Amino acid sequence: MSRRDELRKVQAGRLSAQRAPKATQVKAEKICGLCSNYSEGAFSGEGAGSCRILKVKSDISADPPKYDLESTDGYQTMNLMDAGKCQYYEKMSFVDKDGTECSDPRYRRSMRQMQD
Amino acid sequence: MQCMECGFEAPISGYRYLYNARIDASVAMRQCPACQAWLAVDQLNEKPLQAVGPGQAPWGKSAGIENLAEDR
Amino acid sequence: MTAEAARNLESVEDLEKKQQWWWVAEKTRSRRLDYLRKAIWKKGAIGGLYNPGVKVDLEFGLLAMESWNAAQVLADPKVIQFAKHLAHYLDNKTIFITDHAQLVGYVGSLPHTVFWDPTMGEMLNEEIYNDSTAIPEPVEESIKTVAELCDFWAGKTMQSEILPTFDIEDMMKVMSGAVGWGLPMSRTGYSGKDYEYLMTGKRAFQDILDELNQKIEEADYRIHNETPTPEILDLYDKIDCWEAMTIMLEAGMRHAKRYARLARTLAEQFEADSTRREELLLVAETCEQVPAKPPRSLQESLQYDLFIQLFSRTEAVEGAWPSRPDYYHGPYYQKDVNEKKRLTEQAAIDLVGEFLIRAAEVGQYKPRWTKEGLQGIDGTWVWTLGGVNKDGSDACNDLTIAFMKAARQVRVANPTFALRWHPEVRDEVMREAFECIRHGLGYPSIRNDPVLIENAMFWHGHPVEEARTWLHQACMSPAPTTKHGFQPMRMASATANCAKIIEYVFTRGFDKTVNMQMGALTDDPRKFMDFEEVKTAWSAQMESIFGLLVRVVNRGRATAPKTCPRPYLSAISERSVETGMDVCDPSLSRGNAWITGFTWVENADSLAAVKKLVFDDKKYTMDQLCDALEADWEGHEAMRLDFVNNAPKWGNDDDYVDDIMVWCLRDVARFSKEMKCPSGNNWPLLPENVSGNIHYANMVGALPNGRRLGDALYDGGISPGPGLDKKGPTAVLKSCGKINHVEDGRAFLLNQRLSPSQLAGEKGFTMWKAYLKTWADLGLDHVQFNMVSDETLRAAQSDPEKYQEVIVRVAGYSAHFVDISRKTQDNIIQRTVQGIG
Ligand code: SF4
Repeated sequence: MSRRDELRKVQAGRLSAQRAPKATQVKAEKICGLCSNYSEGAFSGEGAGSCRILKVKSDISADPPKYDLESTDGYQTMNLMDAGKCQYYEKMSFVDKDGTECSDPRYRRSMRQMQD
Repeated sequence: MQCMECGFEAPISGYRYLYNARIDASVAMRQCPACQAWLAVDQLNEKPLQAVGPGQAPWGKSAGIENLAEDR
Repeated sequence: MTAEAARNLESVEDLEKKQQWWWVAEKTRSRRLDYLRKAIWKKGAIGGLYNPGVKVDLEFGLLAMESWNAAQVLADPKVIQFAKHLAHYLDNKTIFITDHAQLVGYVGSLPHTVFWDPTMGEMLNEEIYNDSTAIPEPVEESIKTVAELCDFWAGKTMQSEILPTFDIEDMMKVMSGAVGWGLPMSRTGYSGKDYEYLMTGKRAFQDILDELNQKIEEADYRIHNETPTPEILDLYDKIDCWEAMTIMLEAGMRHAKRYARLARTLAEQFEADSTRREELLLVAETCEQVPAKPPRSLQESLQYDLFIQLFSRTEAVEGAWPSRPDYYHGPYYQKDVNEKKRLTEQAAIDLVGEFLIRAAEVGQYKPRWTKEGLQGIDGTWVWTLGGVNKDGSDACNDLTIAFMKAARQVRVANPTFALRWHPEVRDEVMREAFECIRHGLGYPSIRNDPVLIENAMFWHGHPVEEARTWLHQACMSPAPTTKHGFQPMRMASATANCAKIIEYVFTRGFDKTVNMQMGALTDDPRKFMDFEEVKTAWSAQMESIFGLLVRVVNRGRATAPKTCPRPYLSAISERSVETGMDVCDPSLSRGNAWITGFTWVENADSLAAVKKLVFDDKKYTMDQLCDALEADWEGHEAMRLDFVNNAPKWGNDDDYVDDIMVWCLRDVARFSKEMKCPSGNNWPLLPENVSGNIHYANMVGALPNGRRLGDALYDGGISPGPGLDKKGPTAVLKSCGKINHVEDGRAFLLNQRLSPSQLAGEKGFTMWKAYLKTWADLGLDHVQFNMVSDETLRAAQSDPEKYQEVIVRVAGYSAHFVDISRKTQDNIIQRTVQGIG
């Protein structure tokens, strides 16, 4: 797959997440947003981000999950992505939920669905 | 390094790095992952100096003003 | 006795002595201004969250859903559909008149709401759905409404329309948020206005409407009566465009009439107080006059302007408010106060103060990068005062002074002012500016008019008479207000996180925060043998980042007329009324593009540190440096301190690093002339920061200047690193003076903190003027001042309730100190206070 194709796939995933009917969204117990390998995007508050370990061709929602550790670009995922099947999931020991500071991709998760 | 607020112990890297008090000094703000207190830490000696609440940081004093005018 | 009661007993003189200017303002302003000022809901965000109580406005979304279905049935051309949405909203939205108000109109439906247009983009809609504080009560029910609106608009928004028109790789990089800001849409950004067309009293909406109807009639006649040739093909699109413009102007006039009706009803049926009844009747009369017909008085002129701005903010999310209020409203002040004496000076100041308040309360829901990058304010309303007339004579007038007096009374953090200084500005005006700064407003910033006029001619070829009309299109960048000179949309995407240039030299273009190959794949820095190789890699990364941002904005500008039309902005722009083409069509514009350079100075300080400690002194190898940076300096603290303290730093009049700064700027200037905007003009750099230095703090990795991931970046423009300008204010000015402020870039922001106690009284004014003389002699184009003591700022940090009104200059804008995050507050306290004796 060319880089363009890979990126197109990533973008399509992101857009489809934005178009998913809100009524059917359920927060899983293990999500990328609570994994210490996740880096939250600071561009907008839509809840997108990337993984520091897995690369772009990974797909943790596939059955079985696909793990790419070789490509250059990181796996683009979302805060609320179900990470139940990801073998690289590592629970964050400390999550900062204070939204009155600026983005901190590593520690801060201030969106409503991440509040207690 | 031991948190002076709750006694949590971990190497300095186990404390969340927040930001420097001044770029030209070896003092930085770190956060204890256990009690969330903000600590001023001597980075060179890896020692906590004090817990810091809003308005309590003693740094940031002007460099250019000494002996010129008092900043009150 | 309560603190408030004790304060009430203190005299204005005592409060002045204590420099508690906010209490002075409260005691000296009129009852009306006091009421209106306290009725403002602050619309800026603290960090990424809105102030408690501020809620998302759902009304536009619901009304747009209603009109969408109707528009679909009619199958109108897109631009007309869009105009009908907006018109439907203006015709049906909730309107209100605040007690004591003489000026009316708000962008949302209630004063505590932030406007939300869900037709803009899915990303923004998702962000609102995720917002943890701004969803209105009852929250559960509102979440359902927000979800319904998100679902309804998914796939139908402007974002959906424009995304497929961009290169996929470029777009993914932009949307990573690592190097640029925002989506390149013509409905988000900074809209310039053709004030020379609209605000000179020669015409208003009805005149333009008549002209448009005539154009439509003529085109229609040609289509049906001329021999069919390709010549008439573009008339179809033009008719649509003109028709959409007429829809907008008519809706605007109807909207004003709704206010007139409301004011009259309140006066005639509800108001018991006879003075207030008269005021309401005057409001009604005003709204019957403007925007349909040209204003006749100061009140009408201000109301006219307000309507113009509010309609524009219904059409687009505007991050700026380009304005030259003393110049365009000045003649009405002159007539009402000086000639006909219909208004006392205080009554005029009340109107002007209220105008500032009406602007301060505007709020549109902004995405994260804007909330965090413009903490404490909704957008950069940097209003331009002073300057020169088209013939070069001094343009300052009595309204220039009235605006500065009113600002000290209402003490809003937004709008702020920038004063176009030139050698003929009267002392009286300078004194007013100084008083505002001394009162801790942080504004006006001072701009060097002759330098900036020359700069506008150099970079964009604006003729001198047009260059002289310039105002701030956003925080810093000058733009003319003329037919071909004004820029209808400056897309914020061309805002570069410049510290990434030097970061990518060491990561070979890979971004460790967003986990993407963002920059150029330059050579392995561990193998660099001399400083020239570092510079070559720096140039390549600079070109890759700036090239990316310019490419997407160029594409956005070129496709905007089709994908994202602006019928209202077109309707108030001579070039569109004349041609029937959307205002964003690049062929109508001379071009006035610029790249905003956030986090710029880190480059010079970092390069100087590498040169000095690796290549000149040979104290460290590139390998060691790369290891330290990869570890984010963790475990290398002594070495980090060496890179901070034993390498020359910008702002100390040291040629070693200053020459590197100038080299960097000139390398960019070279590239700026190679890149062209869709109008064929240049893309100069403009280093400045807003609060991007905090927004990006956790995204920019360790740098050779000694910063670590998480540290606030420098406060911007060409301001030295906080605490690193150790040689005093003249050395700062001398370093900055080595930059050619005409040819090396579009403008250069300089923050300075001055000591309030040192600058007290007449002596302080004399010292400040002497400082400005040096600044002007060295040819700098900008300077802005913070004059609040560390003591006050620390007290405000620990006891925010007591210091709600303390204002600080952040960078390019001001904010209330309590309305910015703790990290941003600390960063301001860290800045060097300069003694200027
Ligand atoms: S759960 Fe898996 S994919 Fe998600 S951030 Fe963690 S490691 Fe990456």
